[in-house]
Amino acid sequence: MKSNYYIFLCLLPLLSCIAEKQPDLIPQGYSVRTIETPPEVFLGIGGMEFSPDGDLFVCTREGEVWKYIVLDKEWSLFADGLHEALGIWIDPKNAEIYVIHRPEITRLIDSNNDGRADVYETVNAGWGVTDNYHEYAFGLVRDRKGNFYGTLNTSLSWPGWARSKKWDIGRVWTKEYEDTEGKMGRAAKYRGWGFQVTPKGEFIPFASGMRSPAGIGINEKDELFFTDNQGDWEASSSLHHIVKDRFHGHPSSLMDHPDFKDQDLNAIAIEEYDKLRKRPAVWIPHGELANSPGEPTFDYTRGKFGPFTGQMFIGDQSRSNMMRVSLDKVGGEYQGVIFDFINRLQTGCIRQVFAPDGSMWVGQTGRGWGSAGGKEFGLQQVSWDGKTTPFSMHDLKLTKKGFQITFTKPVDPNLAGNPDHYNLERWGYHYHPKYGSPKTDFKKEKPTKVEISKDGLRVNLETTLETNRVYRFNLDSISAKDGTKMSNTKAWYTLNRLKG
Amino acid sequence: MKQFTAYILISLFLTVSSELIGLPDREVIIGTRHAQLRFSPEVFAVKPGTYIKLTLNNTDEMIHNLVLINGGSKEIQRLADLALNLGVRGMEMGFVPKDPSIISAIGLVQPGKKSSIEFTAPMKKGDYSFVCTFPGHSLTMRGIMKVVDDPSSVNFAEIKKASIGTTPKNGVLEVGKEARVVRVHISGVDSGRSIAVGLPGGFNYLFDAEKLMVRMGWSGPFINVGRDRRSRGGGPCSILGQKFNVGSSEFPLRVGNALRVPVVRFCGYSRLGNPEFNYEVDGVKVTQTATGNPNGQGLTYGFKVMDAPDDLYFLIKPKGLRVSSTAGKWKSDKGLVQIPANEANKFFISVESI
Repeated sequence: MKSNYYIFLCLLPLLSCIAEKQPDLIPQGYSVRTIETPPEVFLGIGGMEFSPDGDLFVCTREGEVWKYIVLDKEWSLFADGLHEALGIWIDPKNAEIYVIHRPEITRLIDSNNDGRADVYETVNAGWGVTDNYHEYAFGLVRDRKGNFYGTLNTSLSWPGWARSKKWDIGRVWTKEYEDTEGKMGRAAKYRGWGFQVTPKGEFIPFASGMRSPAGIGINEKDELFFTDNQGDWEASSSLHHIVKDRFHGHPSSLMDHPDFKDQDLNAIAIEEYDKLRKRPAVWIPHGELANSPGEPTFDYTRGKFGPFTGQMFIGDQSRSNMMRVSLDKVGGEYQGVIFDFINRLQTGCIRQVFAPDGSMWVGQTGRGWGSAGGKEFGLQQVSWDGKTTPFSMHDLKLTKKGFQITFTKPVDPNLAGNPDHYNLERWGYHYHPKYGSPKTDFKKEKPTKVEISKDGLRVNLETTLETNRVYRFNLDSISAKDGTKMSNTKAWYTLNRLKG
Repeated sequence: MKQFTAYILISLFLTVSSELIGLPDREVIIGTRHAQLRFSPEVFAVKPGTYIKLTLNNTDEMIHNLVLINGGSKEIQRLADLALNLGVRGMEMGFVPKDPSIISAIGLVQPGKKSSIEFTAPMKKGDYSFVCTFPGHSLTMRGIMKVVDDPSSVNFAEIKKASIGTTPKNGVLEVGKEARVVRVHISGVDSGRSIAVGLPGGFNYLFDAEKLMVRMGWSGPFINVGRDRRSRGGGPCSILGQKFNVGSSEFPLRVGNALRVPVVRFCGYSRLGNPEFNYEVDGVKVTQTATGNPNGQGLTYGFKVMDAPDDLYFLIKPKGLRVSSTAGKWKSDKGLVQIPANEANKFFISVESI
């Protein structure tokens, strides 16, 4: 009896390592660990960054900044009283901490070195904000030249909502549609814009046409991306490539565009807006993959997080899943493919950051919009075991006659050689002021030709190609040559342009 | 068994002898944190009956005392009231009232000075409080003496950890030992950039970082943020306590011309001690604080203005208010205080409801 007890004791640490229930969908070799958050603290994570010392800083929707010493598993409060902090940036050189919240970008300074910020320095407050709860300010990224970037949510503006007429400004439905549905508007300056703050502190409205741009990300080449949420003018959730002066499709923001000064935005035809807008680089189909995506984060761990180096990860607030994106530059513009990566985590995923050890920390909030994961907030760590190659579609790119799928391991040629095993569908979306869009021009199709490379790592498909479509692949009957089942059987490719 | 008895005898002898010859078993030094109205450390632990030398090392720039009492927060409040009621005799008595709950006390210690006292800790195990009873200090300057069998078993990190819970119960945000500075949308205040400040002692005000004005003051409890933190938020927060008029005007501080709305920039705030707001008015750097008036409903602004190029004007709607200033003149007919440029580097303006 006693010896049994000792065996149990010896197993305890082991048990605590493996006891955590893992998500239904997760690639082989990856595991999820839930981080204990500080007791009696509502920690709705709005931003995360590691300091040069390797400590994690988390800012929250409740307006606090917490420091987590990873090795000691110790939390301490660094700052509080911020207004729904939805982004943080820490200077890798001098550890200066910047947060973005509703009213401004703030630099948090601990001048007496007691572990708590005591000077809250306003870095920039160049945008307008009212007491409308939907006027979030999201961020925060900085390029190598020292420019900050963030995105500003439109105002929740329909008439009669919440006591006030002052927000009933800037809603656009055009002459072709009735003003019957909930629409976002612009109750203060630069709502619906992405902005730049230069090192000299100048606020520059950078790109317009955003609705609920809940996350912004930057890659190693200083290229910027943001996600938007399905809603009015937004057929589905989406990922966009931000370039200066781009218009991303939601018209309310044009109130602050010099070209539209004093114009009635409702007198402009949809076709005009359609010509002006830049389509999303990647559609994230609503209901299938994500309902309210968060920030895009690039994997620059050089293999520490598995075989997806250079690709992008995005979480979703309501479905509580993590997705993976591979961009494809076609005709000078980004489009690309999105896969489900982990489904699902404990609650809504809107922020993630890679730790020095290459693990991905996922910051979570489920408050307000419901999340499939069920919890109201949390923090989880996703790690790769450093050895197991999962069987996944690694990439999916457009070719002249169809698509090339790359796998992480050789495919079973008998299964992958069968054109019936790709379940190809494609569709488009409406561009209109209504809330979301059904799929349009829906077609099912079988590849006309399937070719497997000698090493079994690539499959070339030939099929009809049409622009402004989402192509969905479902490979759930294809497994690897060694028998491994595929971890992400579906892929959604956004085809805006054909290969020239 | 024999050995054990001998040990007890020896330790008894040592305890008694040390008391007899005045050598303490234990020395405890309590410091004061600069400009924060707090002791440091705020918890210490001793064995029952220990003969202690307790030192108050006042590194702060204000006068403090230290009163050790048998009791918790209720007793602290009662003693603080007793100390306050000493009135003119307060200073000479070091604000230490005569009361049976007092175990030991160190009278007023000047800034930068130390003072010690020796006493025997109670035999009864439990938590005892120490507090500074100098008027206005007792809300934040308090700590705990734990009387336990094994002081080394007290987990100070755990005590610190247990006090980090920050999520308000029922949405009520309380002001504890430090001032709170919280960005909020307050019901009835049309501003996207409001900052609620709650000072220890129950004085609160709302600063508008866009119009650089104090929108209102209120005494008593701080704010309820429940509607902002529940679900999506969307409901404004509300002030608790008794609101009072401060004669708010938009962009109240002006340089050179009282009638011209200045170009302003909000630069942030410091939370070292009493919160200080920093901003620029037509390029002139301003630091502003506010404290509650001890008698009645009102507040006192403190201003520091660097290199004022011209006279300053501070606009106040005079209705129902008594206004006084340490610099310049209050002109109630015009609703402004005019501050000569050469007196602008530091001045105070008091506003009080009549």
